[in-house]
Amino acid sequence: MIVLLKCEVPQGVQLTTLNISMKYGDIIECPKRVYDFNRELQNLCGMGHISARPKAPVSTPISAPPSSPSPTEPSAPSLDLDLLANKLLEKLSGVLSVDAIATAVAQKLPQGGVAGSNMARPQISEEPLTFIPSQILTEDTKVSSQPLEDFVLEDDGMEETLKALRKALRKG
Amino acid sequence: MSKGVGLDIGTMNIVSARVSGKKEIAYRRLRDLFIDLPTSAKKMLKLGSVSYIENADTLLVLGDEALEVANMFGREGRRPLKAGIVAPDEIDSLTVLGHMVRDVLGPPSHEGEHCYFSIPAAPVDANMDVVYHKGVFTRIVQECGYTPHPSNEAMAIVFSETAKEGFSGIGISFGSGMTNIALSINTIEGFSFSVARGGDWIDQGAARSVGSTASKICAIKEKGVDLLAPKNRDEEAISFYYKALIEHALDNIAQQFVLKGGHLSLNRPIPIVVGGGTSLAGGFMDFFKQVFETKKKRFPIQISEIRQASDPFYAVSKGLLVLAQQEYDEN
Repeated sequence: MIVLLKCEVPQGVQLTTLNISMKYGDIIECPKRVYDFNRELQNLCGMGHISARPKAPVSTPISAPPSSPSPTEPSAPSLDLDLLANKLLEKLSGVLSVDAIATAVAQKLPQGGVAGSNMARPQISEEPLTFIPSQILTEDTKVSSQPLEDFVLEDDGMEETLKALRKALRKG
Repeated sequence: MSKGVGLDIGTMNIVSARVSGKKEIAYRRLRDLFIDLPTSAKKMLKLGSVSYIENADTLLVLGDEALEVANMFGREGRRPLKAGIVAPDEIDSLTVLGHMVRDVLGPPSHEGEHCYFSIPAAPVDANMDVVYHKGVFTRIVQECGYTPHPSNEAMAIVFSETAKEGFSGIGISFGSGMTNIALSINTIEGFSFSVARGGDWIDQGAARSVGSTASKICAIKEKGVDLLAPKNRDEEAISFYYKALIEHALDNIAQQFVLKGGHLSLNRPIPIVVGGGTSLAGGFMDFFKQVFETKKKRFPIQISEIRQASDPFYAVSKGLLVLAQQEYDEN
């Protein structure tokens, strides 16, 4: 299984254990067993510097059976699939309704359109294109005053939490 | 001056957190609401000392004051975020959000100060574009002069509240627009997801059931409802939808653990820590525990304890502040 790692921070990320530097938005593929045993990747993931998600399996076209069996292959006994399906449905219909069977079968049918293999393009983005305006804050607006609510709360645990987090991250 | 800032961007409120003293955190809050008025209303707003921003040929009133002005004019306030993410049908939402974030953050203490801000996880029960939301806030925080770090909302609760468990636990943020959930093992995110149900969903559902309006139900809720002992039909409906929300969240945790977390090795029971404004209803924790008891037998994760965050409303911003602070050296 392959895991797709994506750099989520604008300043980029250096993966020292893999000797790879990633820029914002870069996606690399990594075998799952490497990801599972690499604490650096998992820490970066936990902090949101990179995101990891399993690579979606790519459906491949079902190849047509050869017109004639090759001499080295044993010929398969001919099966009447329609007859088998009818027998199976007959047995199941005692347990499940015909509608339920039809729904389950429909869900398993391949959806239209077969994607080609993406082996030739190792770095692909599976996210849809997203437009973000280049500038959101404008200087054209005038602000009269700020309607904010400010207050201070005592917090005894903050320092301890920070210490514990630093320790945990060092351990990782 | 302290370094690092946490920013919780919620559907109902935007909250920033900074360390202000040895044992003090300074929070700044702004209600996530605005209303547009014609420029002719400027004099009236000035007389009423209402703050506003002038944008092209309209005046925009932001925050709690927008709610008051909306009531005054008999109009509904507009929300720049809907169901936890940037409202795609609000043409002014980006301008408003930019101003809100800039006001709540204030200027950075140094160039490129680290700012961790909350983003929701992708919902499992709705089709929503979290990518756009993350991109918009990354840009806004950057334009404010900070180094942006998008960070999962529910993980922030774990970072805020589970130091004694080595940052292992399930964080649940019951927000207004959605509910965010994450499982962490020793600071590492096992899985995270959200459900597109929260306080707003309760208001709408309860309103439909009793022939009321969502804003009336919200007002009853904010006034104080005891979920374990509802006093009338409105409160019964609120209690009913709270139960449905908790059940939906727990069912999805179990399902996501089986789907995504089967490989995770949990060698000891972990706590569930609950935060978010929707969890402030009276009796919520006892109610949550009661619902959990009905699911406990078939729950796939061993739970050591169910507890509320020390300050449920600010747990997310505090967790993000902890993350921002660890970006700096200890001294």
